[in-house]
Amino acid sequence: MADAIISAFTPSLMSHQELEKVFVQREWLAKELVEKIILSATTLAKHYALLVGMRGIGKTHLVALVYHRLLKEFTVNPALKDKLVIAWLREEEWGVDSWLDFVNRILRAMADDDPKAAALWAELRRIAVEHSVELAAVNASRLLREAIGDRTLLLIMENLDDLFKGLGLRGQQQFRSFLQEEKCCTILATTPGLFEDVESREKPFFGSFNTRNLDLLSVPEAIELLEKIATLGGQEELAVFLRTAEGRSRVRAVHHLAGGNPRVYMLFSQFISRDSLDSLVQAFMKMLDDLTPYYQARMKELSNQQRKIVELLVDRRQPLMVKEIAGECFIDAGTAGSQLRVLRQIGYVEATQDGRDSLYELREVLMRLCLEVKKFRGRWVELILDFLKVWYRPEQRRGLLERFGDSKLIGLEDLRSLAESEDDLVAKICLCELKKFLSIQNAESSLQTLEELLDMGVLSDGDCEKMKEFIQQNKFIEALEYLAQKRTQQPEHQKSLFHFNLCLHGLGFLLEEKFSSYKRANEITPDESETLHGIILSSMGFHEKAIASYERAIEINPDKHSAWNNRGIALENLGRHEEAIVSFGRVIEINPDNYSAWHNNGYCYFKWKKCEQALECYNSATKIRPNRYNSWHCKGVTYFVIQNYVAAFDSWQQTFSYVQDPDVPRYCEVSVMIQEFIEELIPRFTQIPADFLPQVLALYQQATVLNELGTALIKTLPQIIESAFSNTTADQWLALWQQHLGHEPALQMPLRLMTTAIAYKNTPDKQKRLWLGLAKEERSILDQALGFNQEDGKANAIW
Amino acid sequence: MRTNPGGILTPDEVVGRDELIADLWDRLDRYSVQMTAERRMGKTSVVNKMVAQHPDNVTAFYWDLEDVGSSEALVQEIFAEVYKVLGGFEQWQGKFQQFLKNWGLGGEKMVGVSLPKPEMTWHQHLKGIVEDLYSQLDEQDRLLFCFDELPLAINNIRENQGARVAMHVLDTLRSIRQEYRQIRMIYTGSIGLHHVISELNKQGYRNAPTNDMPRIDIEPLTETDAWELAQDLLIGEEIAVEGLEEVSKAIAMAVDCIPFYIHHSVASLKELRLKVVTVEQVEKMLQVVVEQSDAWKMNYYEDRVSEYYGEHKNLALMVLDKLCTRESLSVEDLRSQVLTPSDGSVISQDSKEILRSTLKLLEQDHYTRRNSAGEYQFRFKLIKRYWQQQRG
Repeated sequence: MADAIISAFTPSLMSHQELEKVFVQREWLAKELVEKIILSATTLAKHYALLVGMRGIGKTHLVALVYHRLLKEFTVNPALKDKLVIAWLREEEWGVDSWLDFVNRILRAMADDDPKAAALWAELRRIAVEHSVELAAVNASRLLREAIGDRTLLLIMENLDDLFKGLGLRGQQQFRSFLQEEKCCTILATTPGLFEDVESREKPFFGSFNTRNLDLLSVPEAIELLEKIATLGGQEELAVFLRTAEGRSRVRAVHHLAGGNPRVYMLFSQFISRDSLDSLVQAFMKMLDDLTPYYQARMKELSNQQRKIVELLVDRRQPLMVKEIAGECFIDAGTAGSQLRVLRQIGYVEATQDGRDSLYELREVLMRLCLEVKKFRGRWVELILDFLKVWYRPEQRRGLLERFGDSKLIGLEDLRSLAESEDDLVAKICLCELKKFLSIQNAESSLQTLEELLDMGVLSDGDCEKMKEFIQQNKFIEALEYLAQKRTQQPEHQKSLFHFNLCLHGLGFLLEEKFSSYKRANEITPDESETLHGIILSSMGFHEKAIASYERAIEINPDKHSAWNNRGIALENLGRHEEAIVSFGRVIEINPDNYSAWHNNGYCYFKWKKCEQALECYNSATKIRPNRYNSWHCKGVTYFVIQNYVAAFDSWQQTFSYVQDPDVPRYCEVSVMIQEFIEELIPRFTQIPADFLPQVLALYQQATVLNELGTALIKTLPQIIESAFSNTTADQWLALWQQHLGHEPALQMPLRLMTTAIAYKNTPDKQKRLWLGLAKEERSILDQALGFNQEDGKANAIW
Repeated sequence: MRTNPGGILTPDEVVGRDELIADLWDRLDRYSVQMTAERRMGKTSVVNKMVAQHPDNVTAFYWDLEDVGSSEALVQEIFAEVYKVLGGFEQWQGKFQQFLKNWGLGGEKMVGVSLPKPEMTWHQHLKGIVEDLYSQLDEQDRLLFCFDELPLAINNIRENQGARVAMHVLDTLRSIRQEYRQIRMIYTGSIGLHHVISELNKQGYRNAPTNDMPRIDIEPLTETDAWELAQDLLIGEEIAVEGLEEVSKAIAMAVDCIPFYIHHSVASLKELRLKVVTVEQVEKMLQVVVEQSDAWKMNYYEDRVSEYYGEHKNLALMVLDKLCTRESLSVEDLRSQVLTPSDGSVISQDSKEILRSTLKLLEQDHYTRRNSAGEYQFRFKLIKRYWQQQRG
């Protein structure tokens, strides 16, 4: 199917097979529509459906799919063909201005496959030409009725809003009257938004339609669509990549900017391959380029004044008040207000209420980006995409894998799986999504997200199974409660080891399977068996039980260093530093060259605030494996904490020389390392020498990790805005970064978010207004960082 | 049964109306009726069911007159429907052959159906058609003319051709009923005919064109019928529920047992694609539909007060504002709460009269009703809920 047509703008060109293959999310609706059309054809009931959704949401795709399914139904059930006749009016039926004209179009659409309709269409035109248009108008309903005969007419009408506008009140009254009197039509119509002619109780068609709102795609649905397109286009490698955590993170970044409009993904799919999705910016820019004529055409549909307003909103990015818009566009506030109302109605802008003020911004971020690209040559888009790539990037924590020792069961593939575990932010977002899906009882998406969380290792296999069980039994509230309980059970001290836990959890499922298979094959020694059992228990959060298991392994084989190593990890998980250190020490006794034990030991000492000992351990670790840059970085952080700034800087120089070395694998996500430094910097920043930070920043700049720095600064914002931190210190913190990084384009957005967050700390009651000082895509980053709108009622809204 | 909000139901799907329809046929045996109700209460469905399942001695005609803008167009519609029912589509029916011949509809293929005798006025046409139709009837035969959206048509005629023509149409229809005893009519409409007539009264109309047509209010379904409908729809749409009876009852009660909103509610619940619907989900859904998004456009009831109550709109709004906070209020309570002058002076007789007529109008327009104790209350919980949210 490599030559399949994937049309983002004219899905009606696609074959039935292609439409089906790239259909996501709406199977239930397609089924309902087909069933109700068949019911309309075979009984006296007549159903009128109106699909509502923004441009590109997939209305035509759905309509085309329903049309093809009906045609297929004709072949299965030939009797239906005698009962149903279809008139699919062209997508843009320009110029319909009366009931007569409308009937003319319907007859024309019917005439294609129906000689009787063709004859009556000719008759209508003959009356108009040979007699008068008035007489044709008088006869229009009768001729249409005759063309339909004993059948039911399925009227497919796209852009019903435009059609009704053309028909006017009189034409609508005639149409409605025809429907009511003749009872021989069923309707499948679409519109980008509800409009007065169907919304107002005073209009003939008020309440006449069963309206169905088409939802935007969620991230899992967007991934599913891209995967389907990739498979259809023969891009298997891309399809596989999309299933990985890395691939999903790229789609998340696109979703952040482009939202869930299916057209975007249809277009985007044309520009991506395994590699271009990875680099992202180029593919995204190509998509914007392709979308630009479409948005420019939409701009041309507007009046000069409306266009001016839209351009202003593009330039300013953030929501604006009517007064500001009026002033900047040199129009009076009344005119601005009425133009904004129109723009809102036709879906160009949206308003947010803050007290008595309405603030307006462009509804689609993508439209703004497209128009902006022309003006600012895409710099902003590149900057934010680069940031989002890091923001949603899964953690590469291969370094932690060392902690598993040399178990023969942990091979390269397992390491790769572990390396794809995501960081806590993405996990947090996924958890919020899961909660949302559970609260709206969307089983399908809940299960998908659950799988994602399982992959990430956020939930153990046991938890996941339990939740699946709840979902399959439709016990959504119980599932939510179970989830909440699991989250609150996580002790505080474990959070510092969160990433590590993720890896362990992620491996749990994998190991359990292998464990059983090895056991079955008797390929496993009892001490190995106990050790693996311990790892599995630990992965499920049962650290005490895991320790007992490791100890049984040690009883069998006192030199079992992987058991000692993992025992240490389990103890550290429980906050028992001293005992953990003894355990790691035993590994070192057995094998002084065990890198993991040295690194883990260093970590324990550091957490126990014994920096000198930590340094000794990290030194040994870097001697054994010099290119393990995360150990170098940990060493630097330890030096920093004991105020040995020169040594800290030297360690980080080593770190980033390895980070930049293309031959060194990405053992650890750079933003996480930087975040570890920032977390230590926050309580100490007022005491550091003046030249230290500029040196470090120069290092970051040289290593091109400013986006990682930006991400770390945003992720540590909760620490800044917590109450223990004074407002003055928070201001100083901001001033520090503004002073050093105010000129860096890559840091502009993070600094803006910091400024907003710190202003919020100073004046929490003004949160809404402060947030409205940011662009939409920036607001959601800040919300994610501070955990706003994700755990609250908004995420749980059912509508 | 599948949900079908706004569409056309099969006669069997029009549930809970059999008693009403039997009563209507009983009345129609004796006189014509006006059917009044709020828009979307199911008037048209009732009429459709009657037309589809009429007694053997009745020939029923149904017109949706909302597109009629002139007296000529009205007669044109009547003529076209009569033609269609009696002889359309190339088949001729026995007893009306002569009628069809008289009106030029026999024999050769027509160019189109238009008023066949240009020399005659609309009035003469109408009278002529009716007279000729009537002459074909046997003694036991009845003709039933169902005029849906008649108030809209009369209003359009008034606006397009002037009040006199509108008055003439109303009087002509009345005179047909008076003259031809085997003809019955049903008037229905989404706007009250009383508002249209009161406009005509302002322009000197003194007749009472519907004083021979008792008003029949279409009430919501009984609770049992409404539960059953909700239940049938939940089952038909294959929506899993926790406690079918409880959920069905919750839906029916929350939307005042109005079938249109029951269909809508079930359709909305389906759209949510919940695995299991609970009573709480129904309540949540309604909160969003009625209070947050006003998806059912209840604001119309607020706007309509401003439009139809003229100088007394504030009084009408005050009455409703008071009622939305209470279960019910007596006339005295309302008088003291909305009329008491701030300076403590006595309420004038004029004010009392204005309140009385406003209360009457609010009742006629289905905002309010009186309970068994004679106290006023909101007629529909749905509107009350909106009112509480917006103005309470």
